[in-house]
Amino acid sequence: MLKVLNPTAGPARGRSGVAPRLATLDDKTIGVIWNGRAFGDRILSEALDLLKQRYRIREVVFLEKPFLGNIAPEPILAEIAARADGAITGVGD
Amino acid sequence: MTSKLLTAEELEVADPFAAVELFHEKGWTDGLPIIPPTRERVLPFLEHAGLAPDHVLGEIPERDRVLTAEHLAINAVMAGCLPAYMPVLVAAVEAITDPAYKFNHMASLGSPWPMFIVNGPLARVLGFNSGLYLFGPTTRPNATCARAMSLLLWNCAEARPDGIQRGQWGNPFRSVGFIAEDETTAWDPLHVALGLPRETSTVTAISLYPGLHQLHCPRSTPEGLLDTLVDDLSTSEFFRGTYTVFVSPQHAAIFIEHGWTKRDVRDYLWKRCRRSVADLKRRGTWGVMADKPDAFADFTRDIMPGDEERFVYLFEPNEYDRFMQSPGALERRADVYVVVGGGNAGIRMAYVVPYGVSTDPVTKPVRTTAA
Repeated sequence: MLKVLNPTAGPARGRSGVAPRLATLDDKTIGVIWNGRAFGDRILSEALDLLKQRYRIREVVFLEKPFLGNIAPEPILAEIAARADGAITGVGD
Repeated sequence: MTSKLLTAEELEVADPFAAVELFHEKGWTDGLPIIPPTRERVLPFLEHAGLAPDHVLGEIPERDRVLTAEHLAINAVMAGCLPAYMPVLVAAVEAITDPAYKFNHMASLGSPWPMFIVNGPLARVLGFNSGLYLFGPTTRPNATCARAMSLLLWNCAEARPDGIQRGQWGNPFRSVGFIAEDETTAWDPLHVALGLPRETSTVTAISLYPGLHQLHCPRSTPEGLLDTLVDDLSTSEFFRGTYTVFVSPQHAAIFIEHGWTKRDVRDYLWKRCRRSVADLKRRGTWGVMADKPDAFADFTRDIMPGDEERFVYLFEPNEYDRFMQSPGALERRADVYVVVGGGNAGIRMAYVVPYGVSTDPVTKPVRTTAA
């Protein structure tokens, strides 16, 4: 018999993971962070239109990162956290 | 340091062949067989580097990952490395987890992957290839160190197609992008050109798009050689950043004979690599990477009178950057690294294109104090 070591590593400190889910988007404010990539704003707008068909979304806070290659600056994250009940971010190309 | 300090899960298998099958089944390898990573094989790697298993070599905060000496040693064993390569691999991990490298770009559609260039005495001691068939496969250190870095990121940073990797075409440098420079010419090697002592061994990580661009340059003057390169670079991706040019020893001799330094080569390219606004519009790249070019009143994708005579420079900042370069490209260094390598008799030059949006090359010294 032979014992071999698992070569993988998962999240180290548990700082990443899925945020608590909202039970509904009705009467919620949705934050959106666009990474600035061409056409990403269109994709996000389409996604918001679909959500608005399903839910009575109270308000949308649509923000843009200054540069897609960097993590969103703290003021943007803070504004989303302060004003929105849930947030959408992603890469649109 | 004892084996008790290793924290990786242990799995029992019948024999080494069963281990290989298990790793395929688990998705822990890249399609090739692996050397089974047992405690007995892993520990000498840590001892050689003088590192405890939980020593953190680098962090990837966006993924909440840390890369430890144990992670690296296990994957280096799997790749077929020798313990003696461990200090070089440690420097390679430190380079790509340096904030300047901006690891988060690695998932990009453009399939960026770091090329690692080893400089200094250790490159020769360990037997890294800097010569014929440079991008190989050639020697054990070149091949296995490239694979060790690929497996490490595959297994510990989700850098694989069923993880975060979203590259459209993939990148062959994952398999062959660990090389040394030929330091036998009169030119300063890369690490000395970057200000480090000649006797220091270093690893430089440069994030690249896939592909080596090879050029037939049967000329015998520095200007003649470089004009071919200028022509090719000027029609490449045209993203500002640090380009790496590979010069064969035969061509290096021509430059040196004419009194040209690496800096002269860089300056020649810096001043001449350019493309007309009309060409860039015809190519369809005008305004694509820039930040909101539409905000400028004079922006148009139509070819206008005078566009054939207006030029955008690849390296030198100019008035048209607002239409051509991404904010990230404008933040970073523009430079040309000149590296000697490849077959001694060679009339071909080569270059590689840096990832276009973010990331700068990072050079780290290799520490060999232990073992």
